[in-house]
Order: sequence, then C-alpha cells, then structure tokens
Amino acid sequence: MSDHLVELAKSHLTNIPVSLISQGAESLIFTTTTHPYMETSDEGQQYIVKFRPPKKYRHPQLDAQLTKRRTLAEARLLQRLYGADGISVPSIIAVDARNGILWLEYIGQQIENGVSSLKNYLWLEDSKADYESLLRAVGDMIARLHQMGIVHGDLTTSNVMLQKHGSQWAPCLIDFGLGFTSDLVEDKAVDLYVLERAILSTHPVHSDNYNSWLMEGYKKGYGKDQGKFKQVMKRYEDVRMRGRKRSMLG
Amino acid sequence: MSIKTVLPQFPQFTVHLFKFKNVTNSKEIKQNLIKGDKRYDFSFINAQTVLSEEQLLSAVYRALLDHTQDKIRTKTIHSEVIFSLSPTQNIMDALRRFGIQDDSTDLIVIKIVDSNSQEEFDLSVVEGEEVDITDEDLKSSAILKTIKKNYKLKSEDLTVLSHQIVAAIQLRGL
Ligand SMILES: Nc1ncnc2c1ncn2[C@@H]1O[C@H](COP(=O)(O)OP(=O)(O)O)[C@@H](O)[C@H]1O
Ligand SMILES: [Mg+2]
Repeated sequence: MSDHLVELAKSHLTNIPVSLISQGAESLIFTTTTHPYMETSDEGQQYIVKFRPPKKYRHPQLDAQLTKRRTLAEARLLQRLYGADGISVPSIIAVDARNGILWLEYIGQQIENGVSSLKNYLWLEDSKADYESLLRAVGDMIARLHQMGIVHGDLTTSNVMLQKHGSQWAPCLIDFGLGFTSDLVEDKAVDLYVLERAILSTHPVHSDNYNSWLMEGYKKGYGKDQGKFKQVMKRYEDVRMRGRKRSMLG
Repeated sequence: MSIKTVLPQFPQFTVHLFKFKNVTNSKEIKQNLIKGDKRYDFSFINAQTVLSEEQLLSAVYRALLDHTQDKIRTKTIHSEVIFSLSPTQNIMDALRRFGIQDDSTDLIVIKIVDSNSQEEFDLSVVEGEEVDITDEDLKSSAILKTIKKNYKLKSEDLTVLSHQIVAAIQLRGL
C-alpha cells in the first residue's frame, strides 16, 4: 500500500537499512541502526528517520516547498527546545530538508506492551506507583513548553515518550509536526485539553486522578508565574465547556 | 591515529581526518591556501573551535549533502566543510572563525577524496606533531568560551552542547 513511499524514502537513504515503524498522514517513521556519519560503537543503538513524502495532489514545486518548510519548522522547534531547562525532546542528528528527511535521536525502549509511550505505560495500570510523579512531570514539562511560547499542537499520549533515567521514567515530548509558536492562552488551553481528552478516552476509570496530577504538575511548572497559569486555567475551563456542549449536541 | 571513514550515504567519497599539535607553519599554510596552491587542498580547521568528532563529521555530512544536491556555496568541498561548521551564512566570517589562523598551533586537517581513484595526498605541508583525534583529544584543545560564543550557546553539559552544535550545523541558512 505504501510500498512506493518506502521505496522513495530508501532512494534518499543510500546504504541506510531502514524499517518502517509508523505511517501517519504526514510522514513515515523508520528506525535504523546505521548512523548517518558516526561509526556507531554502541551495538543495538537505534535512530529515527522521519520522512515527509511528496503529495501527489499538490503542484510539484509548491509541494517541494511545503515539505521543506514543514520539515524545517519541526526541526527548528526541536532545536529551540533541546537543552532547555526542564524540557526533554529528541536531539537532531541530521536534516535533509529538500527531501523531507529528519534524523532524530531514538527515545524510549520496549516495555511489556510495546514502546515506552505514556499511552502504553498507562495501559499497564496495575501496581504502577509512579503514575502520579510521572503525570506531574508531564504537566510540568508542558508548562515550561508553553512558557517558552511553544504549543505542541498534537498532545496525545503517544506523543509523550518515556525514557528511563536511572530507575525512574521521565517524559520526553516527540512529534512537533503540528507545533507552532504562540503566546495565546487559547492555544495553550487547547493543547492541555487535547491531552486531557486523550487520557480520558483511554483510561476512563482513572482519568480524574490522572488529569488532576497533570494539572498540578502544570501549575508547578509555572513557578513564580502563577498569574499566567491562572489565565490558561480560566481559558481551559472555557475550552472544556465548549467541548462538553459540542458533545451534548453531537 | 587519524580517522578514515566513508559516510554510508556518500560512498563515492572517502573522508580522512587528522589532528596536529605544535604546528609551526600556519602562516605559510594560510598564504599558500589563499594563492590556491593545489598541494594545500585540504580543510585546515582551527582545533580550538571544535568540541567533538560529532561536530566535525556532522559538518562533513552537511557539506557532502549540499555538494551532491548542487547547493554548495564555496569554491571547493574543503572550504565547504569549514563553512558547514558555521551557524551563519557569512562565508568570510566562517573561514575566519573556524579556519586556520596565522598563529594556529592546533589544527584539524580534513581531506575528502574520490573513493574510486583513491588519489594520493601529501600531508608534509603541515609542520607539526600528528596526534590522535578522539573526543578526548579534541576536548583538550577546544576553547569552550570561543565555541559557545561562535554558536551562541551556553549549556554546561558538553554532550548537550555538542548536540546543539550539530543542530546548528544541520539547520544553517535553511
Ligand atoms: N524520536 C523518536 N524516538 C522514538 N520513537 C519515535 C520518535 N519519533 C517518532 N517515534 C515513533 O513513531 C511514531 C510516529 O511518529 P510521529 O513523529 O509522532 O509522527 P506522526 O506525525 O505520524 O504522528 C511515534 O508515535 C513513536 O512511536
Ligand atoms: Mg505522533
């Protein structure tokens, strides 16, 4: 079905053996154990290759421009965020913007039910004493993101990956493909609301707890800037109301 | 001692990296470079501006990618590697910051050759002591203050700093 897109990606990746791990509307995600320029010492080390294929229905020249622009937009957000205090995102390894290719650090590892995304981890439910601290950490990180004037744009529980730091899991935000810079409370409130809905839809029983931990972390992440936090909260309640009305009508 | 590598996506090129200390003829090298003397067709890099192997090879990657896509901005692949180390679009500024200076004593020398022809090259143009080129050796001659200033970065964590440099190299001017 997507074979020709995989072939196209491979044609831009001479001598790089890649395996497709995900295909979305915008991009194909591959893993590889071959680094584009370093001789890897670490066996089993993986890298992510994110490929935005051309879209046939667009004019070729316009399409090439858009592909390049979107690849760069995502890369620039990652560049701004990488290394920022209290924020974790994958590092950039290489960029071939003209071919819509972004090489990223691989985040996470295998757990019982797949990759260590927040989504999979929360599915494990039983005996996870660290859910509270983890969800607080996620909230804290999103607050810092918002304080930098960046909105993720697609905060689902699959776009929050978990990384082992010693014996503890720590969040790492991935997929800034829909991210943008904004200082509007509305955009930040919607970002939070999207995550709340994602948690609610997968974990209806515990979602109240989960979401309150998330919010407590989000509040804490604002540090001394509680005024800003309150503005976002206020709008967040509005966004929730609108959401509820919409679902009652729908 | 030196590094010889082929980047998988660019098998047509073989990349050699060398490091020297106690170099005594940098001024002469620079003069001959300016004259365009063929025997000096290398990237001569001021080692004080280099923190890691990752930084160097990421610039080589960028230069080879731009070269194969017909997008290089300087005269040769060797000057392009130096330009690729830079976070900005100003070529003169890049050569001044990252290239050899009259008083450079620590040098990194890069030679990119056609993998098929395996042309010979003569490094005796550099008068100095060849040393290893591991991350440790690079760090020992790196001047962090200069590096942070060049890239407008301030991380204290050298791994983070190196990754931030890579991002700056990959995204320059795009
Ligand atoms: N840096 C990364 N490290 C580990 N896995 C990743 C990384 N980037 C993407 N993935 C995996 O690929 C999936 C899709 O990637 P993503 O960037 O979210 O693209 P999409 O826009 O298609 O959602 C993610 O949900 C995750 O499982
Ligand atoms: Mg995603």
